[in-house]
Formats: sequence, structure tokens, C-alpha cells
Amino acid sequence: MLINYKNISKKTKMFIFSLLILFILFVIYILNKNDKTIDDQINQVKPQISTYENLTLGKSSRNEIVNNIGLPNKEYFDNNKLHLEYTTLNPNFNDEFVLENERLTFIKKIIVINDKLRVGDLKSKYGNEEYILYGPGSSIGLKMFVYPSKGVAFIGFEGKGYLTEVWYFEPTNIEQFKTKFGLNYSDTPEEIQ
Amino acid sequence: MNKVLADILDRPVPKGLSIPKVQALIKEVAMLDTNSKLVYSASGERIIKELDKYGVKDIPQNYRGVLLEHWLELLSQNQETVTEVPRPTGPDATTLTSDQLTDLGESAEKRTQQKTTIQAREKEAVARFKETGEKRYQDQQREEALKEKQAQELLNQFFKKVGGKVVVVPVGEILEVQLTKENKEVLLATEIAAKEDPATTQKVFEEKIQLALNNSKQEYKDSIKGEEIKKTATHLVETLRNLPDHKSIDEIPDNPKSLNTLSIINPLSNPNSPEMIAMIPDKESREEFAKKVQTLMLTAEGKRVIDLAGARAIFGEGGESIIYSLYGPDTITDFKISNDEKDRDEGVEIDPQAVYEKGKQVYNFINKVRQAKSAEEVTSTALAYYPTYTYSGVTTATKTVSTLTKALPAVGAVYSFRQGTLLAHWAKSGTPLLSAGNQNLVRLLTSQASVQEIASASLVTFSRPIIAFESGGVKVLLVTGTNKALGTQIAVGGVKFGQKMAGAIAVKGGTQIAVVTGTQAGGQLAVGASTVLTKVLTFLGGLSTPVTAGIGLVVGYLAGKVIEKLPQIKKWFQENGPVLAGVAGLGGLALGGPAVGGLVLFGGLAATGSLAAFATGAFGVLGLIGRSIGIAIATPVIVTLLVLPPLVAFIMLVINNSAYVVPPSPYSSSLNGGADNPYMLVTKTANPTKLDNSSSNQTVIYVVSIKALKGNLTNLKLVSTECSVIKKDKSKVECPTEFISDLDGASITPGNDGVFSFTGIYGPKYSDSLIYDRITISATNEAGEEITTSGSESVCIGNCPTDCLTVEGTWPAQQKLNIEKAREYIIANNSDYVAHVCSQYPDGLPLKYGGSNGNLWGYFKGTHLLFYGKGTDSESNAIYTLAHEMLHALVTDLKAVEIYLKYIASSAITETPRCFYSYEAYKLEERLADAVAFSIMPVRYCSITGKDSNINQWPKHRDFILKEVFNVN
Repeated sequence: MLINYKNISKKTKMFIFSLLILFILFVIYILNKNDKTIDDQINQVKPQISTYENLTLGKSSRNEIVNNIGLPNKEYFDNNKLHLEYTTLNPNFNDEFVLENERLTFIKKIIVINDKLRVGDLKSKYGNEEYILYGPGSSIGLKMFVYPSKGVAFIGFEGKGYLTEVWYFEPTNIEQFKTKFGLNYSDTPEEIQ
Repeated sequence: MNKVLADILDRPVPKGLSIPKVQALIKEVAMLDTNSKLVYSASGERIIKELDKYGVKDIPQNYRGVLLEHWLELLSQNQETVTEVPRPTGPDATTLTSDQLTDLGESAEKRTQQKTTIQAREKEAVARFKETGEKRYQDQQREEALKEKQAQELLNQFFKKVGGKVVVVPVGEILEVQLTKENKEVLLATEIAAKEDPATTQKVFEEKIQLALNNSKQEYKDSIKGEEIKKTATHLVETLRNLPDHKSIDEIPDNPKSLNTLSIINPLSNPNSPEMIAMIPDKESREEFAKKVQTLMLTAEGKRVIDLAGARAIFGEGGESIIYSLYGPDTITDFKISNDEKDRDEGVEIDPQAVYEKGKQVYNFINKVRQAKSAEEVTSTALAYYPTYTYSGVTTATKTVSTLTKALPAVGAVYSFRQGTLLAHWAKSGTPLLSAGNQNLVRLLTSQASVQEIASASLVTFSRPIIAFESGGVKVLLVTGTNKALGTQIAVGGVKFGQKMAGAIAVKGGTQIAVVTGTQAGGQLAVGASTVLTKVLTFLGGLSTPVTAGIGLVVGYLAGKVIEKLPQIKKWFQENGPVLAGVAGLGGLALGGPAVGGLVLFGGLAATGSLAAFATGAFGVLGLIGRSIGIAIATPVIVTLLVLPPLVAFIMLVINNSAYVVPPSPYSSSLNGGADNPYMLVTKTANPTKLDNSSSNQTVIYVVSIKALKGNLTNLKLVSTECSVIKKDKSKVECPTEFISDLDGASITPGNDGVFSFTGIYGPKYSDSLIYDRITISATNEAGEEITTSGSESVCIGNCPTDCLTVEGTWPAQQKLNIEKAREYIIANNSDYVAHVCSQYPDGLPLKYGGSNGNLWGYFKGTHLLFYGKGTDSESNAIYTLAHEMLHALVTDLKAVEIYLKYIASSAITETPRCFYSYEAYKLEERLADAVAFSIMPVRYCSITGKDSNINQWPKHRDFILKEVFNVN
């Protein structure tokens, strides 16, 4: 059915125009979001101050997270900790932001194979790892490179350089890191059966 | 009066004498009496002494025989338990005294008279015994009848007490079936063909089954007749015609849940469960009840086995998911009897009396068939129950044939299988097998089965929809149906709005209407605003086979709760329509049932009994087994038609073949379709096994040795031979022709192996290739069981494609043989996988042996694969272990680790392929390695799941592996 433009009221025209503007802004946002360079991705993790996209570990609140990252896809309390989860390019795993006493204490970012960020890039940024821990997938070469004093750790294959996760937390020592975040990790790798 | 004789006849049988002993003495005495040449006998003296022990010292020698005969008569009358005694040895001298000779002569006439007397008495005794025996038998029968009557009376009290209803609620997981796009395309194509042109579709199905039979064992060919094939095809057509009308594959869900229909009555089969004990306190009555339920279940299980075999011949191995969605999974879902009043609104109601009566009927029929003296008699009995019909009418044969040819896979063979799910479930839940009759059924079920005739009947009809319209995102439908057997009516209506839907179901005879709301594809459902039917609806939400089992279940559940007449349904819709529309408008719940991919709200059928309604509704679309059970309860005759012929067919199969295989235990595992067995070892060797490339023909002599490991083996038969040529350059070359004669039913004994040989000739075209050969042989062991096993061998010509996987180091001979054969098997069956792995190891990936090492099977050690005793103790275990470890070698850092990254980002990890190794549950790399092994190795029984290892159970893994691991696009 054809619509006569002249018959549309001014109010409706304004509404449609607003929608168009919003749509254009949304498209620009999406395009920018996907146009990050490796440097951008590395800069997301500033270990010295444990920050991620204007969020500061140990300080930022839920509102700040929402303002910076957006509304989470999933939000729940677990063991008195507030978890905010955001979908990623891996449909099986979400990014996680964890708050204790209303302050951001832990971030887990999921990295997929198409991300250009590699183990070598992060090592260039943070130097040699302070510790290496082994957890799920260690039997096929996955390692966790831990920098407790810098508040960052990442999991990946050293040989081929692929990353699977990057963690941010408040700077701490290795023992506290293991107790608080690394319960599933040990000092020795598993063998493949 | 002969005082001596009178005295003899008054003498009771001394203690310690038995019939065999007396018989032995009579023989000896008779020999002494009649051998006129005997003058003295040492054994005679011994016999006399022996007799004297029993107080016959004062009896004249010539009367001793009479006395013994008398005692024998007395003993025979009393029918004492006999115990064999050592027999006296024969005479070692041939002399007799003159007195003895005189006595012998005088007594001859008397003995004749005495024998006549004794014979007369024996006749009297036999007559008395018969009379007594018959009386005892009659007493026994009366006693049993009385017991049965008492048990029946107690059961009747129970039936009366529960008011015809026992409620069961699901407590176990309802399994999902994963339908791939290809599955759905096949399903849709066959469904449309069956609806548009049933006659041609039936014909095509028949042809496919016949083709499959042609590729099958002789015993199947012999036992499956044309009429039976027709019935199988008819049934499948009927099942497909009962599907809702799907217009596209998008309307068929990806992961419908599916329920083994036997799950519902399974809680009634265990006489030891606390709920059963509480329900029927009297032990005998309870066991009598459970026995009949078990009979019913076993029979239905047999029926299901037949259905699956028939469907497999049509849909092929790739169609397992289709088959399971049509016939339900193997696994029995746990239900429990609930006495909780609130569960009456949440569970499924079963009429225990109807189930019992049906079980009794089947039980009696089984006994009747068992008494048949010949296969012909069984057949004639069965034929009396055969419903026969063939679709007719105008056909568009060419189009249908073309459609089905494209949709259905190439025909394989009808293959044997063993059925152990129900038994394993009973074993685990402690359910005893209650009768010998049922044990026989178990034997039948665990024996090889095959496609048999399957009865079918159009039991449900649906009218054209009364209301049916679609506008925007809203669809509305109201349809009525009739149970042809009972004449009862049902009406089902619903509305779908986007993904939300709700439905109303009405069955004639009820008192109120019930409303179901929910979301497509298995969201949480609620009924109206009243009590949430949590347990039932948890699976209802997903119990959406492509044939809307869910709605059927609702129909069953609601059988006692829905309104009585159609006008009231209409009225209800008029009154409640706006309310429901309002709900839909809010984007919340809309009208409609737990329908699948559209507003498909039929599949139900009204019946008076709730289980019947349940079964006819839910089962009607799940498969004939369920339907037959359900309808049988209400209409025994129809059930007889549906359930019994397959049972008879089973028995015929057994009679015809006189062989069935009972697996050693429900948890036994075997590869190669049960080929590995403790009775027979088949080894195949080639000489030479390594040839250089040559421009002329080269000859290889193959020798097959068949060894009997435990007792004699008879009826040796060549079941099949397989051959494949794997070229290094991946070009295709046909196998050479091998001339192997059949074994003609030969026999072998332990230590006396059967050996035969044949020749393979390989020309230049076989350069740089591996020729893999496998031979499968069957035999009958001393227990009458048929056993099958295989032997394989390969020949490497030139630079054949095994260069990466080298067997190195020290190996035990048998383990080495197994790993070599495993390597050959994998190369022969999946050279792409081997090539992929080897591409990562240009310097080779050695296979080494690491000792027995407890329960460990194998390790990937970075540069080589290490195998242990258990992982290579059979060819089948070696295949699994090698295929599994090769994946680890492939998917590791610095190799093809990208596969892992793609895997963890794929939907495949939502599935958990499991069989007998527990790490798959939480280690993704192990899950993938096992899935690869399942894709390659012959299907085997899985101790963890109780199912088998067929990779088609995990289609996302299958597809991922094909693409990323095997590199097959």
C-alpha cells in the first residue's frame, strides 16, 4: 500500500526523523566498536593502575560499569558478589565483571581466535610473566601468565600465541591471587590421557 | 498260600534302598538265576551278602528276585528321589553248585507265575499312581487357582481403592534429540511424501527394506517375508502421516525432547519399590501385578526394537536422530509413583487394572505361542491377528519416488542389535525379573532381531480445522478428532503469537477445560493461572518431537479434567478469547500448546481411561509401541493386533534359527557389532605384507585362521568381507577381486583350527597404497549361541600412507598386533584424519608401548603416543585409544590448536559425548577426542550412558569434526 507523504502529520515526521538519527548514531557506534586496533586493545588493560575502559579495579561501581560498557546481558548475585555478564563473540562464554561491596574487583575478558591480540602483544606490554599457572586445557598447552603485582593475567598458547582470556584484578601477591581467583589452577600442567 | 511269597509281599522296603539300587540288584540276581552254567560266583556271593544286609538272609535264594521286584514296586509307588549308586561288577567266574542248579530248575515255573502276578500288581500300582498323581496335580492346580484368585481379589481391592488411577511423576531427565538440518530435510520430505502419496511412499520404503535385506545376513533374508516388509513400510508411512503438517524445516525444532514411552509404566514393574509395597502390601499379589507389567513392557520393548530396525533400513545410520524422534530414545526416564495428593494434578494418571489386564492377556498369549509345535503353527496363530491393508488411490509415483530418492540415504544393511536398555534400567533399580516366561522374553529381546512385519491401523482421524487463520504474527486453530476405536471425541484449540503460545484441550467425558500456555521449543510452561504442573510440564515444554508429543501428553494428562462436549468448548473460547488475546498482546503468554514450530495442536485422542488417552495422544505420535500399549488398555483386540504379531515374529525367528545371543552382561562392551568374543578368534595374515611398487602384477596370499577358544564351534559361516584401497595421493582405486569360498557350515574344535587361504593380485595401479582387508565370520558355540568375530590385515605397497604412525619400541606380541590393526583400521576408514594428523608430524608420530600401567589406556607425550596394556588389549580398544590420542596429538600448541579455539566457540560444546571415559564431562579436550574416536570406531556399548557410541547422537560434534578435524567439506 502506498503512503502519501503529505498525509503524515508533523509529529509523526519528527518521530521518524528522530528514529533515523538514533539509527545512524547506533551504526556509527557499532562501526567504531569493531574498529579497534591492537594498541586500543592493549590500552584497555593498563596494568599499572589496573584499569579497563575507564574503570578502575577496586574503585569503580556498577553504575560506572554500566555507563562505560552498557547494560549487562545477565546480572546476578553469587556468594555476595554481584556479577555482570556481557555476551562476546564466543557464544559459549561471557565477559564477566564482579563487584564486591559495590566495588569492581575482577574482570574476565573473553578473547576469540579472530581477535588480533596475541600473547606476544601482552608480553611486550607487561614484560615476562611473574608466574605461570596451569588449569583447564593445560594438557594441550594452555597456560596462564600471571602478573599479580600488576593486576593482570592472561590465558593462552605460548607457541602459537592465541589468547583465550584476559583477567584484571586489584594488584596482589601470587598466594592471594591463587586463593581468590586461581583455585582451578596449579603449578604443574596436566598430561593428556 | 505260598507262605514265603506272602512273607515277601508283606516285607516293607528297608531303609537306604533306592530304585536304582534295587534295579541293579535285580539285574544281578536275574543273571545269577538264569545263567545255568554258573556254579559258583564270587560276585554272587557278594550280592548275597549285600542282600543279607537288608534282612533277606532267611529268604530262599530263588525268592530273592521276587522280593526285589516287590520292593521296586513299592518304591515306584512312593516315587522316592533316586540316587545313583555304584553298580556291582560283573561275574568273574562261571561255576554254580549242584544245589543251586536244582533250585534254579524248580523255581523256574514259580517265577513265571510270580512275574505275572507282579506285572499285574505293577499295572495296578501304575494306575493307582496315575490316579494319585492326577489328584495331586488337580489339587496343585486348585491351590494355584486359589492363590491366584486370592491375589486377584487383593488386587481388585487395590484397583478399587485407587479408583482406577495411580499417579506417576517424572523424576528423571527427559532426553533431547538433536535434529540437523539434513535430518529435518529428510523428515520433511518423507512426511510430505507420506501424506501426499502414501501408496508410492510405502512402495519405496518396501523397496529400501528389501534392498537392505539383500545386503544382510542370510538369517534375516530367511525370516523376513514380503508381508512383513509391507507391514514395516506401512507403519512408517502411518507414523509420518500422523505428523503435523510442516511446511518448512524451520517449523521442526532443532532439539526436541523425546520420551521412551515405557518410562510411564515402568514404576509399576518393580515389586520391591517402597511405593509399590505401600500400594499393594501383599507380596504375592504385588509380584503377580508386577509380573504382568513386566511382560507388557518386554513385549512392547520387542515391538520397539522391530520398529527401529525397520526405520534404520530406510533412514540409514545418519538418520538415527529422526528415528529416535519418531520412536523415542532407548533410555528409560525415571518416573515414580506418587501418593501425594497434589501430584494428582501434576502427574500422569495410569489405570493399573487396565495395565494388569493387558499384561495378563499378553502373558497368556505368549504361553499359548510357546506351546506351538512348529513354526507353521506359530505363523498360523499369528496370521489370525494380522491386519492387512495397503494404501491405494491416485498416485504421483514418479514425483514421489524422485523426492524420496533424493531425500533418503543409500541403503545399507539390516544389522543386528542387542536390546539391553530396559534390562539395564531394571538391573540398576533393583527390579527383579519375575517369571520364567519373562526371562524367555528377555532372551528374545537380547537376541538378534530384524525387520519384521509391523501392524498398523488408522486409529485417529481429525476433521478439517473448525477455525484456522493466520494474520501477522498470530495464528489460531481449532480442530476436532475422533478415536475410531472408541468413538470418543477430542477438540484441541490454540493460538500462537510469535514464539509464545497456549492451547486448550478438551476431551469428551471430562468436566472442565484446561489451558496450556508456553513458549515454542520448550520454555517453561504453566497451566492457566492455577497450580503449575511443574514436573510434567518441565518436560512437556521440551517434549516436542516433530510430532507434537507434548500436546499428546497434555491431552493424556488432562483426560480427566476437560470438558465434555464440543459446544462447550466453543462457548469457552467465546468467553475466554479476549482474555487470552490480552495476554498475548502483552508479549507474555499466548494461546497455544507446547506446539512445535507452528500451531500444531493435534496428535491427541480422547479415551475414557486416562492412560489410554495419554498413550493414544502422546504415543500416537511417538510410535506404534506406545499407541498400541495405550489403546490396548482400552481396546484389547486392537492391541492384540498391534503388539502380538511382532512377538510371534520374534519367536518365529528363534524357532527358525534356533540361535539367539544373550550378552554376558548388560554392561559388557564389544566392538565390531559384538565381534570380539571369548569363543572364537579370527586372524588374517598376508604374505607378504610389504611390497615395492612394480609395473607388473604382484601376488599376496592371505591366510585366515579360525580358532575355537572355548569348546567346539559349529556352523561356521562367512558373514562379510570388506576391502578398501587407500592411495597416498588420495586417488580412488577399486579393490582387487578376491575369490573366497563360503565355509559351508564347517565345525572346529579347540586345538584344531580352521584355516583357509585366498589370493590377491595387485597391479601397478596399487602403487603407494595401503590395501585393507577385513573378514567377518560367524559360528555357533556349544550353548547354541551365534557368535561373530572379525580379522583384518593390510598390505602396504610402495610408500603407503602409514608412514607417520610407526609402531616403535618393545611391544607384547598381541598388543602390537592390535595396535597395528587399529592403525590399519583408522587409515582404511578415515585416511583424511590420518593425513591431517600426519601433516603436523613430518618426522613421524611413533606409537610406543608403556607397560600395563593400571587403568591407563594411553597418553600423548608431545613427540609420540604412549599406549598401555588395557588400551591395546583388544583390537577394538586399540582403535578407540589410537583415534582418541591422535586427536590430542593434532590439537595441541604449535600444531593445529586452532581447532580447539574454534571448538570452544562452537555450539558443539553444548553436547557431551560420553561412553565409558568420565573425563569428557568436564574436560573439553577430552570431549573432543572422544567424539573423534566415536566418529571413527565401530559402534560399541557405553557403560556410562547405557546407550551406544554412535556419533549421530551428537550431531554438532559430528558436523564440527567432519569440517574441522577430518577436513571434509
